[in-house]
Amino acid sequence: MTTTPSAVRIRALSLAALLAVGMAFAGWSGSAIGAAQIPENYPDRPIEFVVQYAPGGGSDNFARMIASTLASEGISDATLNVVNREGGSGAIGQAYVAGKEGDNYTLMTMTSALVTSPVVLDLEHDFEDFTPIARLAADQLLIVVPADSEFQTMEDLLAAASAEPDSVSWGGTGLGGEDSLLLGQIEQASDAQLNYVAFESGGEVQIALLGGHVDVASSNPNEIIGQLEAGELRPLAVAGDERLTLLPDVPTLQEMGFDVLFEQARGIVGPPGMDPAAVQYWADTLKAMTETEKWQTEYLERNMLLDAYLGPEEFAAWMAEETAATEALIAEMGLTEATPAP
Amino acid sequence: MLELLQSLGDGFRIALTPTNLLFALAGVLAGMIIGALPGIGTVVGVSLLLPLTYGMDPTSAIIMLAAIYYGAQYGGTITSVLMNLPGEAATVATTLDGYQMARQGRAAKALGIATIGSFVAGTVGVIVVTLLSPVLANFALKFGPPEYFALILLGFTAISAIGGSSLVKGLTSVILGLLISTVGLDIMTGRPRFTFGEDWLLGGLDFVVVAVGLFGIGEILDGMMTPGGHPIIKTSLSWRNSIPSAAEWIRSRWAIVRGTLVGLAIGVLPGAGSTLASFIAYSVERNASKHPEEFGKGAIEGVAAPESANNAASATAMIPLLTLGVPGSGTTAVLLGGFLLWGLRPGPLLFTQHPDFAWGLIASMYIGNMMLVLLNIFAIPVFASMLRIPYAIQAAFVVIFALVGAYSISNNQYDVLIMIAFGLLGFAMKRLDFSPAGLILGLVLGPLAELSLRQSLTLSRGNWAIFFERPISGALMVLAIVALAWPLARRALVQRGDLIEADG
Repeated sequence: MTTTPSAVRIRALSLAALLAVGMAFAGWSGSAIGAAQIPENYPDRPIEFVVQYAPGGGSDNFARMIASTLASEGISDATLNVVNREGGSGAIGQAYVAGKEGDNYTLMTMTSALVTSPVVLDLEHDFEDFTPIARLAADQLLIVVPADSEFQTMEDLLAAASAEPDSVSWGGTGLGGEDSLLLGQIEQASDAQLNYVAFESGGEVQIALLGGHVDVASSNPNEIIGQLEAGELRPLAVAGDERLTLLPDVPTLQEMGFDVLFEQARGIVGPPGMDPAAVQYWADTLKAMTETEKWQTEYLERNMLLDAYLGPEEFAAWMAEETAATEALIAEMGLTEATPAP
Repeated sequence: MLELLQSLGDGFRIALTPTNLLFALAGVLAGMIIGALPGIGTVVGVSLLLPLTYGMDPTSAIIMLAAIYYGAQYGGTITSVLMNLPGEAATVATTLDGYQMARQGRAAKALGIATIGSFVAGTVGVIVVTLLSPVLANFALKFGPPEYFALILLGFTAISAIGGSSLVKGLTSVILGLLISTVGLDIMTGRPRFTFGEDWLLGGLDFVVVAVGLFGIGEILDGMMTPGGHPIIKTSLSWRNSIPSAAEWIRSRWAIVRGTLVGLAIGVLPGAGSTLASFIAYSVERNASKHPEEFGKGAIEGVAAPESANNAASATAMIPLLTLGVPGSGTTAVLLGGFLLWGLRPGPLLFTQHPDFAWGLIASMYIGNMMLVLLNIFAIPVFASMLRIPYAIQAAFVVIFALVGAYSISNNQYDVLIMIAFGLLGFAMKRLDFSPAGLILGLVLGPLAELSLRQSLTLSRGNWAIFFERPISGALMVLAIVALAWPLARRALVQRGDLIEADG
């Protein structure tokens, strides 16, 4: 075979590029970071603030609000770089942070899904691998129907779903996700059986709901408040233990006599084996942040969240309780074994 | 109508202030760069710049971020045409003829027609957003899972247009893409599929990693193995060279119109978006063309149609966000996140509660598209002249860009290995005449098709009639079946015609 000089050069240069990257590659795998003590002027370097969900969602908004409040209210001069590592219902970002043992310069957002997804997906890491730092807020789930829905109350809806199982469809963001666990609780507390339809994102659920393609869905209040105001969607119930200040007429499921309580915790965790001094620094800093006017009005009030600060120890204890309850619920729903595909 | 023009006038008053003009310009420039770099998708680009807007006036902020979004659609074309590197799924269809044009020394022409098509489509898109937002939002709501499934099936018919000479090989590529798309978490059951217990596979394989490997690296491996296959391409530095000739214009004008219409309609549907629009537009164009055999070999319509479609789609994708407060795509979801941070309440009342914001944004989209066409027309000769660099050096740079891009997506070394593996696959497919674009079609549309199929059947409790009982879905299904049958029927007719001629 004959080769022209130009082809030889192409080969040589391209191979050189491949080799260079290959060598860089060998370097990456060797860098393991041991547990380190934090310096006095901690945080002396920028913090990588991992959001395990896509930009634009509730966790993303939570993280960016923390970053902007800490900066604008002068609580900490730390630089928090919000980084989205989405995919696999949060599993990708969680695996990433779980692998950063002893790193004091990484934080991650936490929702109740951090408890559920390792159980449902049988992941290598679970909640106990992370270092609890603080719980900051409790997000609510509202059960909503389109404005012109035939269902006037939650009782109507559940009666229809009991009379003919699977005749009422519930749009959600995936089996094993929080909305499916809320539905699991509702089905256990009533005779109803709903037809769960999974969508890629909360936005797609909303479109399907507004278009009348699904009958009912649950949503965080801040995602749908625009539609509620415009009268496009109608709330039937709140899944938390008290009514929302901004929606005083919407009853809780417990008031109606259903033994259902679902609140979505929002907090911050660190990688495994974080230095206790770093944990304390962030717990104190975040505590101070939750007391600012900006956090109270621009985050909590506007998004209809409840102030729910817990420090590292209480947070860990609370999570342990939640984990036990979730494991029981998931087992009862049969989600830990392979469920037949529809 | 008068009221509408007055609102738009107010919007222009806001968008034309020096500050906002500057933000629009900064946005389109950043967008072009982000679009051109493989590895930084629009979603990542916009979310990286979101923190800069914390203290800004919301209107200036949205003007800049939206400019990044539609600017990236222009930028993505550059690497697709020059280096066969699609940075976004929406520009894969452009590589099919765009890269071939570049190889023939017509890179400037390809970029020129893409710019003109993008400008026309983008501007028509904004006019549609101005006049028809509420109507189209209602149209989007009529699309439930069965309608999506029928539409995606229609998208799959593009395989007869992009799959190369052999239908069997084309279908094989699509099926390979479908199989690859099943890796990851299955949301219908909450179970992982084909992840072999590896957590990093739960998110599936990243599109950019697959596409850049398959196209970019595959092309370079092919070049390495082709003795003297890449002579230096002579390109004129005159910007006149990027203006299409009269003949080319006549060939492209209806492609731009058809591409724009396809893009407008599909862009408004949440989740479907510009990728589906660009593939369908390419396929429509090939079927409408008098010389379909030139497609894939540097037909200028093959660039004009998908580029018009993806830009029209990126304009109308703003409609669900502005009128319903629901994001229709990954990037508009980031913009929605921005709304919340700036203290706005997205939803149906946005236009009445914050008219300055909504109309300022719409007006700025007219201006941004104008900036982009001017920037591009003058920058095209510069971009095209990159092809004067000896291929050996170009290739080395593409490899470096591609590998760094793959790593930067999630700082994960596995992505780099996967990209190299897809590079080898791309090389093999090219040598064996399989269609890499077909694989991408399967990879991108596969998850949408699977999900909407299963959603529909869950809703109908197993009754397949749901696809034909509903008017829109039924019509689209018929259209898809016709579109599948038409090329086969035409082939059969042509062959019979040949036979008759041979007999006579």
